[in-house]
Amino acid sequence: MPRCHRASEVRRAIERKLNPSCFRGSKELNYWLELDGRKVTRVTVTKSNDELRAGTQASIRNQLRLSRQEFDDLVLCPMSGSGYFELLRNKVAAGLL
Amino acid sequence: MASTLRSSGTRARRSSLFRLRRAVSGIEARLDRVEHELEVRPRTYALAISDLGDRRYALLSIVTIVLEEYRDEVIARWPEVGVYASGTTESEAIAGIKRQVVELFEELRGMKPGTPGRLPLSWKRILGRTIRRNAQVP
Repeated sequence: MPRCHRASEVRRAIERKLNPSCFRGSKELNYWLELDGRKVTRVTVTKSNDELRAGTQASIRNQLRLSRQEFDDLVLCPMSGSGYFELLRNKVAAGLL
Repeated sequence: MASTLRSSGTRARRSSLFRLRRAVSGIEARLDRVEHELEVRPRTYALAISDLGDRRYALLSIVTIVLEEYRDEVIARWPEVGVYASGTTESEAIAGIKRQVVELFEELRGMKPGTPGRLPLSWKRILGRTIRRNAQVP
């Protein structure tokens, strides 16, 4: 059964590890992730602090281009920012981003 | 002799009972997994939208979005430009995706040339073909 994280945990992981530029929407925060000076993907996370519902969490995970396990690792700490960008770099090299 | 036969019959019955219990508990575990999968799997359907709910922007063509109805939320997404919105009802999710599309459009418009990567550039091209900003409306 997939683990559900709190929105605040996900925001904290993105802000602390991925150093994004952030646009404040009316209900959500839109983060732009940069790789080598270029914005490569955009992630939307609700401003609430509640536990994420399954569909919202899957959508955030898709925007981050991560598998379930990789997403858990990013939020719960084993994956560092450089680890994440290494994954992203591989996807860019494979023409997926 | 008779008692030996009885005892070996009891052992055989116990052994098959044990195997049967193990098989039943395996089936129960699989049933739990199937029930969980069915519970979390959303009902998915497509919906056409013809405006963005904001007088400052006009849609130049009909856009097809995907709606995913989960047990406790509805997700609306436009996969081609990578946006999603969630709500407790379908109309909330649709209003949210319209807001997200406008926000993405404005964020991309405001970016310095050379900063968006390949994927955001393709989003910009798609949105440029689909949305017109109404200059008359402040």
